[in-house]
Order: sequence, then structure tokens, then C-alpha cells
Amino acid sequence: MIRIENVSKEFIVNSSAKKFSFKKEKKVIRALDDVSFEFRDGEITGLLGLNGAGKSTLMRLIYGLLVPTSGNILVDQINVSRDPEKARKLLGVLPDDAGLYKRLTARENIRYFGELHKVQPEVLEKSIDDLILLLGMEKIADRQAEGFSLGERMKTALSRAIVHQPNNILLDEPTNGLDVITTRAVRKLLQELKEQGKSVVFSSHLMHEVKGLCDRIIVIAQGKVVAQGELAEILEAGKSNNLEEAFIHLVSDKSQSEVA
Amino acid sequence: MFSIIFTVLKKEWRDTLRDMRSLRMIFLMPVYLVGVFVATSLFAIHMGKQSRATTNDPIQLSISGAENLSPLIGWLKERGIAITAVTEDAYQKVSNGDLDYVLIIPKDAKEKFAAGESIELSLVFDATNTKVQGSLNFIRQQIWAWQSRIGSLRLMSRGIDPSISAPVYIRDINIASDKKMGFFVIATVPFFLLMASFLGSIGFSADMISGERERRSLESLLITPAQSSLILIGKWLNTYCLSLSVIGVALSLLTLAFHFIPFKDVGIKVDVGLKEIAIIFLVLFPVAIFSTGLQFLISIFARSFKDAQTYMGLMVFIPMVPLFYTLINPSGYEDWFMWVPVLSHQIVIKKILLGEAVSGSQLMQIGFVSISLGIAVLILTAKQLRKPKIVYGL
Repeated sequence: MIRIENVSKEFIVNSSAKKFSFKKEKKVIRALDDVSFEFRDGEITGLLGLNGAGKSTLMRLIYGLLVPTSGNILVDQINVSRDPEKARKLLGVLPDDAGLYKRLTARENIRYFGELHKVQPEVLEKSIDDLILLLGMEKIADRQAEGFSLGERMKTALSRAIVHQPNNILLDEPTNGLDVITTRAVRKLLQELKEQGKSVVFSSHLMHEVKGLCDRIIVIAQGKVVAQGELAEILEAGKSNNLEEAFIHLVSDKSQSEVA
Repeated sequence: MFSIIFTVLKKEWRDTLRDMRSLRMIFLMPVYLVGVFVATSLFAIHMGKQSRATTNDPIQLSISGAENLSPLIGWLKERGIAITAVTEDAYQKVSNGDLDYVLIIPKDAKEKFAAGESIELSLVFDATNTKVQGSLNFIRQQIWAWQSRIGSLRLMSRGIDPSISAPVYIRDINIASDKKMGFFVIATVPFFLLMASFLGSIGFSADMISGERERRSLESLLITPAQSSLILIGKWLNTYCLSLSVIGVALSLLTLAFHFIPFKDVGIKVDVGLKEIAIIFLVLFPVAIFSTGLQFLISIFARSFKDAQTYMGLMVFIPMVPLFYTLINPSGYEDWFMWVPVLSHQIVIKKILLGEAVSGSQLMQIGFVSISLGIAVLILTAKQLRKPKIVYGL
């Protein structure tokens, strides 16, 4: 379970128009503004938001490579800011646009991360074999990653992220650009992880996918949570019986209120 | 703790060994450096032999109008110069290239000599023809010597002390021993070796951090619970081993070169055996800790792989500074030099090559300086590794 308590994140950027001026104007950008919610065990939570809404920032805060300006993030009761290493042990993360080691085979790529998580060798080999079977990677398992297709890369990166069987799984657009068969394999995997009682979070831009897969949905716009809950609650909040319509209502309401 | 270092190291080695092209490239540098050294030495030896040849054979001098100043001709013959007479068109012969140089004595020389007047002798030569410079200098010296003798005799015949016309004179005393002559040939060796330790593995260390960030695998790596310092040590050990093997190759090739280049032919004694090479390795392995650490630090702050390689290319100037210093001021030495990395290494390696004694405490001192600097830059790098600025460039 991951709990986000009143988290804000500000970035300070140089916004001087003149590139060579000595006086640099600092501008504060609020990427996340006092957000609170939780990702529960045994549920798949969908994170919806436009590009730049703060989804990736939120994920980076959870795995501790960014530090919140205020607020707390707890991964299975471990405070990420206080003990990031311990928290990372409990997380499996597929970051946005993750790269592989192209001179290693798919299996070696996955095994490397398992070893970094200090998984026992026998357990690790079993886990790798299971993932290869589940995602249908038998053909590419022992091929060097150089020249992998997008789907093959994604499957390898996904296996690498969860090879240590973490309790909390964060996936940033895991089905982005994947073909139908691969998408199905990924969905099947997510369902399986959910049934094992894990907390699965994934961000996506595909409404039908979120609708079909998620137990709970969190909609983020301009760094704030504009709606959260089960599908029905989101539809109600967005005043529509179609998730896409509801989503558009929610995020555009937000930007209008921001302007006003 | 060690399991993480070992895991990272194992992965990096696998990655390195599968990148045969880059691996071959790094060993090209020591081969190239030693090649340049061998070529320079052979050239120096060749030049040395040539200048000896001219001193052993009698110096040839063609004279036009020799009969006009027989006392000078007699003196020159006495000094071992082989004289041949040429006809009037001597000047033409030099400009055509038939003769290298010629001495022209004017027709009125006999009368002027008898009367005690100055005679204008013409030494015709082509200044661009450098190989005759040695012979010309010798001939000039002999003519000057003859002139001061005759001048002195004339002064004495008039009852004047000849020393009145010579307020000072210079006696050249060359103290350069054979071993010191060797310095000029091997002054470049410490430089080559330091170059190999500074630049040997830059491609790989640039790849370790900025390359990994560019291929977008760094973020995934840093999401694992492995400690930054352990990841870094694993990666660094890989680069460090590569650096050591580059140094090893350079030293082995150098040992062969010292064995086969006939330094003895020019009277240069270069006593470099396995013992000396081993001591040089002891001097160099701490340098490599510092240089690879520095490469990592540059790699982490560089915005891209290309950026990292550019900055690291500038590291070539680090071994160059002391080289130029020692070339300009070969005997300059202050005690604090020993605390300056690279400069101290340059001096110590030079000493070893010239057969001078190097104390164990000196080796410890320069080793201590570079190892502590190396550790300092590595700690600094490890502290940066998980900073948002490094991972995301924010």
C-alpha cells in the first residue's frame, strides 16, 4: 500500500527571457499541490491526467528520486524521505521510456535487476522463467537487446521491474505503443498481480484500458487531484456516463477554475 | 555490500567484453604511444650516428686561390682538414649544388698578409643545407684560431702583450654524462605513460554514467535499493581494471622497446629492466585511481555522452603541463613538487628511467596523494548520483 499525505512539489526554474542576462529570474512551478490519496493492496489504480499534469512527478516522488517540498509518502508504512532504500525494496517500477542494456540478453537484463534487489538465486531464476512464460518472451529471452522492437523492450523492462516480486508496482504508461497481443499479455499480468494481493498503479491515456482494468481511478489536473474513486464515482463527478467525456469535463473544469 | 559491487562489476564486464570494437580501440593508444616513442628514439640514434660519422672522417674543404694564403692552408691541413683546390667559378659551383661549401681567398691576399692588413675571406655555403653546419663550424673555429695566433704574433713582434686584445675567453666544459644524454630521449616516456593512465579508458567511463543516462537505463538502475556508492564502486572497478590493463600493455611494449632499441650505439645507457618497470607500475596504479575517478566525476556532470567525451579529451592537458615544465626547466626541483600529482609522477618515473634511486617513502607519498584524491572524487561522484539534477537534469 502506498499513502500520499498532503504532498506538494515545487520546482524552481530560471525563467529569464534573455539568455545571457546576469539577473536570472527564478520562477516557482507547482507540479503537485497538496495531494492526498492511497493506492490500496489487491487493487489496480489508474492514474489519469493530461501530459504535464504531474503523473510522472508523483511517481518519481514515490520511488524517492525526487523529494517532496512538503508532505509524506509512505510505502507499506516506510517513509520514503526518511528511508528511501528500504522503500525502494518494496517497489517495482517501470519508468516512462525505460532503456535496456543492449549488449545484455533479455534474461541477463532481468537477472541484473533481480540481483540488485538481492533476490536469492534459485528464487530469481524461477521468477525470471515465470515472467518469460507469462509475457511470451521465450524467443527473445536469450537474444541481446540490441534491435528489440518496442514491445520486446517493454516486456523486458516490465519483467525487470517486477522480478523481485514487490508488493507495490508502479507502471508509467506500460501499454504505450504495444500491439494487441502484447497489450493483452500485460493486462493479464496486471490482473495476476492484483490477485496476488499487490497494489498496482498504472498511468495511461487509454480510457477503455483504464475502464476495463482499474478498480479505482485517480484523476490529476494541474498538480491537484480533481476526482478519485471507483468508475461510477468518476463518472458522477465528471457528469457523464462515458469515462472519456467525464475525464475531459474534470480536467477542463479545473483549468477554467484556475483561469478564473 | 560486496554482493552488489560484484553484481554491478559482473554486469559491466559482460557489457565491456561484448563491446569488442571499443575494447580494441582502447588498446590502440598504448600501441600508438610506444610506436611514436620507438620512432623518435630510432630517429635520435640515427642523427647521433650521422654527426659522429662527420667527426671521424676528415672534413673536406674546397678552396679557391689557396696559393694566395699558404700559411692558413698549412694550418688547416695541420688541423686535419682535407683541402682540395678549385678554380675561379667556385661560387657558381656552390649555387649549382656541385659543392656544399667553398672558401674563396682573394688574389691580393699575399700582399695584404705581408703588409699586415685585413684580408676578406669568403665562405660560400647554403644555409638551408643543415648537414654541413657541423663541418662549417669546425672550419670557422680553425680560421678564428689561426687569426688569433697570427694576431698575437704580430702584437708580440711590436712588443705588445697579446692578451690585451682578448679581454675574455670561454672554455666550454660539458658535464653531460652519457646517462644524462639519455634524458633527452626518454623524457617523453613518463608523459606517454601518464597519457595512457589518464586517457586509456575514457570511452568506457563516459559510457558508465552519461551513456547510461542517455540510453535511459540510469533511472531504472537508481530505482533499485542498491546504494549509490556500491553501484559506483562496481562501475568504477570495471573502468579501473581497463585502465590498468592499458597501462600494463603500454609498459610491456615499452619493456620490449627498451630491450631492442640500440641506445648503446650512441653511448646512452638506459638501464630499464623488469624491476624498474615494476616500480613504474607501482607509481602508476594510484594515478589511475585518481584519473578514472576524475573521469567519473566529469561523466556525471556532463549533459550527454558526447559532452563527457569532449570534457575528458581536455584531460590530455593534465599530463602535458608537467611535461612542458620539465622540458623547459629540466633541473628545477622543489620539495613541494612531490605533493602535486602528475608532476611528482613525472619526476619519479624520470628518475627511475635514468637509474636514480627512488625511496620507498617517496613512492608512498605520491601514492597516498593520488589515492586520497581519487577516493575524494569518487565520494563526490557517489553523492551526486541520485540527485534529481543528475538523473533528470532538473
